[in-house]
Amino acid sequence: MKKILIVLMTALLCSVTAYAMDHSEFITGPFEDASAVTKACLECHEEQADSFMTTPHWTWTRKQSVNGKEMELGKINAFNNFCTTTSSNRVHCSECHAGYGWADESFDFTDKTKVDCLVCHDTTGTYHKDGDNSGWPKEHVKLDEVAQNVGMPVRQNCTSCHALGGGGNNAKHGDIGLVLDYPDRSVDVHMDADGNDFQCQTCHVTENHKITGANMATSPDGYNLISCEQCHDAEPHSESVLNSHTRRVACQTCHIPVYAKEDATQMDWDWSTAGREEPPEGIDGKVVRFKRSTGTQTWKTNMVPSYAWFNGKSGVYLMGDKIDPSTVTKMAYPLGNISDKTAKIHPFKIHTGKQVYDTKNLYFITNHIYGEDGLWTTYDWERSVKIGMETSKLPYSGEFGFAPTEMYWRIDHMVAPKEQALGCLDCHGDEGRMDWAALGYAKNPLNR
Amino acid sequence: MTWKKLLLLGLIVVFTASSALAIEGGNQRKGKHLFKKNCKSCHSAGGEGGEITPMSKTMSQWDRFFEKQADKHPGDVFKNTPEKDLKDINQFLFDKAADSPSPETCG
Repeated sequence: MKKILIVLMTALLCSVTAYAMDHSEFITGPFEDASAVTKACLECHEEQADSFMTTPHWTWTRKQSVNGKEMELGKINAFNNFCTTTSSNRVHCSECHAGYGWADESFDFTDKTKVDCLVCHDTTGTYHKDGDNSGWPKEHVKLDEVAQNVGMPVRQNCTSCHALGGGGNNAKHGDIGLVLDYPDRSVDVHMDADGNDFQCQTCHVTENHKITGANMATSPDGYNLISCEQCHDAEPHSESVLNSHTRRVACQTCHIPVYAKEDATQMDWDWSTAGREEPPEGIDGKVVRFKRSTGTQTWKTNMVPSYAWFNGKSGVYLMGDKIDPSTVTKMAYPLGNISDKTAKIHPFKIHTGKQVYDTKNLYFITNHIYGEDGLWTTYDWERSVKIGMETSKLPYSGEFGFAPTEMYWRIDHMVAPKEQALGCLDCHGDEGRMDWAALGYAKNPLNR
Repeated sequence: MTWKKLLLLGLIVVFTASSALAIEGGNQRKGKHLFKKNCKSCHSAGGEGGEITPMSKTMSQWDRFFEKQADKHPGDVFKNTPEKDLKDINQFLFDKAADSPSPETCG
């Protein structure tokens, strides 16, 4: 309880000081472009730019241990289950780079004037980046007004990218949608806009622009992992049988009974139908959607999570890794098992798909999706695959096919009010939601 | 000047005037929250104010409502809501109006 109080007091103090600073006294404008705003920021905040430029929000990479090897990994070279890779699609993907102008390899990562301060510090809600110009803001944005109204980030700043990545609202995570901009208590007890009103950084504690938290795909080493125990005790329940669960069951497992509340999340992306002029069978336009450019996607709300052992670290598919196209390849998956004492049963979204792969070299293809020569414009697989592989310098045999994939996404947000937390029979009942055999139990562990 | 030219000129004037009036600078995502919180208590299906969604009006109708007709709204809700909040609500309803590029029924 004390810890909760301290966090709330700190949050309150920070919010008062942060919002009190009126920048309209220092910032006048007009500004020629967004980089001119950054130049004005740098007059007082050069050190902040220095520290920001060391973070993955700028570099899109970090040296870490991946699948047992030391290497650089981040959005710059990761392989996901959505648009595959950023390599040849930078003009589009840079919409979510906190910088201006990263169109290709010539981008200067030492140029402070290209840092995008506003995407995180805009408080007007009117700053929008564009999906077709390497991260520059949309033309209609009133830069002087936005610059005069900067402040500490609120949830809406973070969701502008973290809720919209992967092709739409809540497409990727499942537990991070635009509903978190102003959620009510039933959506998330901590972020409840009329209640606790936690901002993202209340839990994702931030210092010098270094934000804690670890995404499975880009931080498989679990670096800077955050946990509920930052505020809550390890034995927070009044019932001892519940407290004994916390050794092997993550808090999220009972306290996030469903994800994708209000905003549907994408559960499957079948790229093999992209390019077809006629939609395949079974498209209803709501749950199962088809577009010639993107193929078939399945979107669902109020999903019951999948459960697996998780020790905070994950394994990932890396560019060039060999696959067996007759089995499902895991693009990101949790590490840990029943005999790993550091692992707990954790909830996940499992996003499935069919991805394009090189049928002779047996690895996934870094497809070229965006731009006038990309798949979304030409609907020409042969051409887009070839350009994508040339850009990533991965040898291409000249023949492609489609192979099944899945990608795990940890479920940590959308914490329900405690009266909605799972009860005993939700897991241990005859129709319980746990697949005990898959988790490594001989039988339902209630019946020892 | 023929009547066709007059009509064209008239349309241009109307179009220019209406685009000049278009709301901008409001936070539509916050506006959605404020609309749900302040308006839906009366304006849900079966509510005393009758159901209203962003699609109940066109973009220009929403702007006109906030500019000219808000004073006629029963009760004190408009008087008690800060101007900035009203702008955000107006922006949300405008951006999701029946003739907007992305109409919404929710709210």
